[in-house]
Amino acid sequence: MIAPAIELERVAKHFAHVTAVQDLDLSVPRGCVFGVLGPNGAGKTTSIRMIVGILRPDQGSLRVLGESEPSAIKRQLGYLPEEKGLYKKMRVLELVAYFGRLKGMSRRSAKDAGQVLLERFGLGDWRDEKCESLSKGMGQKVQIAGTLIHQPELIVLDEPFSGLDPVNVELVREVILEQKAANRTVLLSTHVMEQAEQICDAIVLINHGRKLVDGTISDVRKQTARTVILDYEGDGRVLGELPGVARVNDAGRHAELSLAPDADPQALLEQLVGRLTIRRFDTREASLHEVFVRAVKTDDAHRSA
Amino acid sequence: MMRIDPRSATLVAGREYLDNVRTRGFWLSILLLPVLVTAAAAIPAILTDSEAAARYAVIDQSGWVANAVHARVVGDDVRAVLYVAMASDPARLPSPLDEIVPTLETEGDRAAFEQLCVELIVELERNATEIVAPQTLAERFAHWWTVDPDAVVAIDDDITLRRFRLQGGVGTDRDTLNGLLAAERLMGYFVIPEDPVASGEGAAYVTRKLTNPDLRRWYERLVTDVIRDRRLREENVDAEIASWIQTPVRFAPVRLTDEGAETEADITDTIAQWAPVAFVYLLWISVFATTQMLLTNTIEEKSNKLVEVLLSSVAPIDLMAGKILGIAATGLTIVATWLLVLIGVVLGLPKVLGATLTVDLTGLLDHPAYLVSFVMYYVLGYFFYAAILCGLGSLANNLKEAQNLMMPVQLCLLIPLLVMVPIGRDPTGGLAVALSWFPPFTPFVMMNRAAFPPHWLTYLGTTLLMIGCIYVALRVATRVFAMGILMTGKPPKLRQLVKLLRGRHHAA
Repeated sequence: MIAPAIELERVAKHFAHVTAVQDLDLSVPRGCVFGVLGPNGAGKTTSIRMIVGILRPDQGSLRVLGESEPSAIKRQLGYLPEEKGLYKKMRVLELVAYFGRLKGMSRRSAKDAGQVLLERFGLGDWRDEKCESLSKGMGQKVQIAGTLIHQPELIVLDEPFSGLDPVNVELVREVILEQKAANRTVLLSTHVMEQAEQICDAIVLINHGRKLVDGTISDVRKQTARTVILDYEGDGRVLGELPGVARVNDAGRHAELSLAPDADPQALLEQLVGRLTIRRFDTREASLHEVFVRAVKTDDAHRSA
Repeated sequence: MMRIDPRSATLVAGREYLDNVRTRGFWLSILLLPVLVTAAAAIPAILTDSEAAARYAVIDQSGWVANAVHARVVGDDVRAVLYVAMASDPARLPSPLDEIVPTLETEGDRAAFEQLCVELIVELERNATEIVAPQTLAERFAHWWTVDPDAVVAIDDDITLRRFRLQGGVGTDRDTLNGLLAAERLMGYFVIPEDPVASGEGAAYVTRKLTNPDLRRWYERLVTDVIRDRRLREENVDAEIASWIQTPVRFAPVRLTDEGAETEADITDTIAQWAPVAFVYLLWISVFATTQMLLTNTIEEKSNKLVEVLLSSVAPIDLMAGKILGIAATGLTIVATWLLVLIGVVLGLPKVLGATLTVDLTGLLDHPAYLVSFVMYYVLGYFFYAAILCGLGSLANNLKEAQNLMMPVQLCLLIPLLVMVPIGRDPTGGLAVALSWFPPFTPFVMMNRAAFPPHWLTYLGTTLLMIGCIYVALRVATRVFAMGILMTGKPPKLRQLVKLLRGRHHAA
């Protein structure tokens, strides 16, 4: 049986008096796109840095591509950090090839592969330009090319879409799906839930260094109660008093009601009839965005209680 | 200590090296120093050649001193010009020297002709006139001398006429001379009192440029000589006896060689013995410049987050080793360029510019040990300070923070500069011996002592000490680097750093 691409067991990491990650368990299967989600400061970057071998965990065990020693898998790993930087004075192809050579490629093959990738990202004409002449989006694409040049088995992308225009977001999304099609594992950290929902097979949601929820996208959505979309006329204050409604987002004549896990939408509709004039009543599964917001708010509320 | 992956370290080093040396700015900046040194050596020679003579005047209340002084000056100059002319090919001499020189067959001819010319020239200059139609060779010479002093100077640029020229004979009108001073047509004028033999009181030098004492000192010496001669004569002291009494005792510098032989020392020997001091300064600049380069580069990589990508590909020790080696190679390129330029300047500049250097540096090429020691101590000094600065640099987030962290190291680096001259004067003294064994100063002080090399055991001992210290510094720096390179926020204080080093926060 092939080991998962990433396995974390009760992993913890502390910095001085701050606990960045605590008791984190995670299993990422091979050949999928896996999302790491969480609010700012949740511990995503620290977790990723441990996975790519930049940091060592203080506690717990960590295996990446079946190896517990990070140095053993460095050449099978491609990493795009959240904050991107380039050597300004280097030329574009030279830089991409340099990243390839650091991963063990020969000079020739790194240059050839770099050229192919730059063409793929629409930067073929920029190969001999200095990196300082690139726009932010171009620089980001160059870095992604440097991450993929050696065809790594595990690709870790921290916020790969930030700073990209919609056309390039689509391009990067395609490239990520190509990696998945080639049976490579992609670990993706993003703040944009819609993108995660579209591209990821599974996700883990982290808050305050702990895992809140993980699983496939549909499992995670199912774990969270349904949402009711309501168009109405009348006094909206009654919405918050209804049994089975966990949260109300009321815009006056339009509202989104997050239901409690055991709530019955049919019973809710019956409660509403007679109190308000109902124009529209839709029920649907919670979006990843709603899962995120609800899980984080609930966790924060428990912590402050 | 973690093992270094040579491939990764070499790749990082290669990139660092190329990143630095292939920019135009790099070559411009490293060529700047030799250009400045060359300029410092060549410009005084060129300037002296092109400098206009300082003009002076004399108010001589005694009626005889200024003329006596001037006769001496002209006599010395005429003698010098005739000597040079007689040693030259007459065909290449200007008129009337080309005709005069063949007539001066003996020393007696020359002395007689010289006396004749001096009397004529002094007479002409005293009266500020010129010979309208010179007939004899002496008259033609005197005419040439007074009418075309620039041509005279071209024969022998060491003569007084090139530096100082008497303006308009010997005057008496102070107001006129003050007017000339104000118009900057005179450097200064001298007032000689009525009876300078009795007392020098009332002698004055009037000028607007007090910062240049050359003219005053020169003329003061000449007047003193003339007055002293007169005083001796008035006391009926025979001229020869007077000359003998005034003969100073000079100690000729004799150098004892390593082989025990005594050789006459010249300026080249003195330069060779001071050369290590210059090399210490170069060494200091090299170490300082390259370690600064390393520090800046480390901070840049940290601040633009490239370091995360690099650390996902190579171990911190490979990254640090690569950076240190890459900048070391850059530094060696700088040092080699400087040395090559120095050799080129020593050998080629006089030919190119047609000017001799004010300092003859060719003696340095007879001491290859200096160059070898220089390169060796550069390498030792660089690695020692590079390890420290790479570690410190990894803790800083920007240059300002780095400068604060660097302060103790910079202060430490100042000490070899402060003791450079005292050690150069006494390379075997207590200060030199003691500081040789203090690792932060060892490379500089040992270089400083190169003119009088210590026992080979001292070389061996201090080198081993340096290598040991470099090993320890690199070991600690690797741990600091691995931990600091990903650290954000305020750099830790020393106590916090020690505490952190005991933990496992660093990169894998």
